[in-house]
Amino acid sequence: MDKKTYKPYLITFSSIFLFGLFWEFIAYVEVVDRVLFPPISAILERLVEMTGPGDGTGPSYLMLRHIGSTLFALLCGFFLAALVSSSIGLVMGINATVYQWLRPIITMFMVIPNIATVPVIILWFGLGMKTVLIIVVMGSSFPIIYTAAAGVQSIPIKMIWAAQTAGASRWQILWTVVIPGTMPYLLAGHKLALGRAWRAVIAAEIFASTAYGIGFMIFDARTFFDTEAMFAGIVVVGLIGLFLESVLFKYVEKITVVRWGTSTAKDI
Amino acid sequence: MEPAKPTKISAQNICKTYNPGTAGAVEAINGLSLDVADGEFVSLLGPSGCGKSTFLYMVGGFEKITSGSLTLDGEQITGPGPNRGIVFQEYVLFPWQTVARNIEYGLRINNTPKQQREAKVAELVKLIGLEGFEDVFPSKLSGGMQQRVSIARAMAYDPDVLLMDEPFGALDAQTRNRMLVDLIDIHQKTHKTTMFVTHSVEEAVMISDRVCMFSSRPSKIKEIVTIDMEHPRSVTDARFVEYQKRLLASLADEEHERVQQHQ
Repeated sequence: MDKKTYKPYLITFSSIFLFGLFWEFIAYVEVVDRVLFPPISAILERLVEMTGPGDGTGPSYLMLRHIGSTLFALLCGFFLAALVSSSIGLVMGINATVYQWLRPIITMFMVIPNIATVPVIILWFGLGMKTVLIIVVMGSSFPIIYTAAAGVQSIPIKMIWAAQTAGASRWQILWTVVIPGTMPYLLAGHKLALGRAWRAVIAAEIFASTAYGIGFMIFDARTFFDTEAMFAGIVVVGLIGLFLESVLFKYVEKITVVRWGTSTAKDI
Repeated sequence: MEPAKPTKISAQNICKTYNPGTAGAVEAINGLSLDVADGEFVSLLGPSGCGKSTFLYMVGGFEKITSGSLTLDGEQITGPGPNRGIVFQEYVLFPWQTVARNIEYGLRINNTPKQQREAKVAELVKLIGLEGFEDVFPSKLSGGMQQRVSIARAMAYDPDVLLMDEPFGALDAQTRNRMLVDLIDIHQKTHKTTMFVTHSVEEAVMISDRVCMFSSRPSKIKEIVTIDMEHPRSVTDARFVEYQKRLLASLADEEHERVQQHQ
């Protein structure tokens, strides 16, 4: 690795490290009560302890159970949304009438913050996993629908003509031109949607979970004034969020749109 | 004189009106007739906006005619189909597919076995001079190379007719000249009936058996000039210069007409 390639990583690492050091310092001089503002070292220690088998007094591998529950809700909700919303978006992109009728509704739902609908969903479906799932699906659907429709409309008509001239049927055009042609938009939409789904699942768990989930854990630890556990949960939320948004999609983009030279993102 | 070849494409008294019956009705083509013989190379030349591309798209089956008759092998054209291949100015290759996959697109559509597809790709890649680029994605190619792939894609499933819409319009002069020479070569090897839309008189004289001069809108074919020269043609040949002068004068008349209409 030459100097140019490792320098950005070095800066990223140093920047986070210095922030942690600053946090530690503030906690040690006790500007704020230490119970409310625990040092990073204590938070990380608590995180390790909660992730491990435990001391036998409580459930073992507690943090992993919370993470498992959250990821389950996230992935189920996200994949359901991806499947249904991509289809709706594709149909909207292909059919102008469907687009004209659905667009106002989609736009309306897009601007409503996900959290605003949580109380109603709880009233309808009660507390538990079902409600969390529904909130995740609602949170991640609309960006996918929007971008899928926009992606279909971005395909040059002459590209469709080229396929028709080669003898392609409507279904063949859908599979060989429309769907791959929409890919850059679909990927951007799913990236956006996964970010939203992640925020939605944590928010939903705070209000609607009854036993497991990182969001639930953070909120539950509040009752015992366990700020170290709360911050440990927040760190986990941040780390997983980082992985989902930058690592996972970077890989998917690398094997598709970046290879094709059709990426919508400039900083790849 | 060679014996007359059978008619491939026949346009009889074609009219095209956009938004008919409304205040915004535009008469694009009015009374266009043209017969193209099998294996012939015909250029469509005319002032900009005269409807020469529209006519090409009608033969392609993408645009409907308002009235008249347009036949290919004696049958009315009702839509696009694999007896025609099309090449656009903007190449419009499938960016998610490699050069080889782009070329064999039509063959995969009609379920040609893999071995035959590979043989055809190898043959075409050689014809367009892009050996070694089979596994490259289009975004890595220059404009000229992309257009070569586009031509190969249109020829892969062996259509009878090749439709070209200003295929070299986006290329630099040097690349364009090279492509013209290669296209003449390809046509002499394959004898595909070709319709070639261009706004370059030089291109048209260089490559065509006949040049159809369109009038300005509402357009029809004003005159058809048969280029009676053997290939390879030279721009410095006295006959070449003569054809060019004649067509340029005719084109200038139409451009003048068009400007006056606008005023």
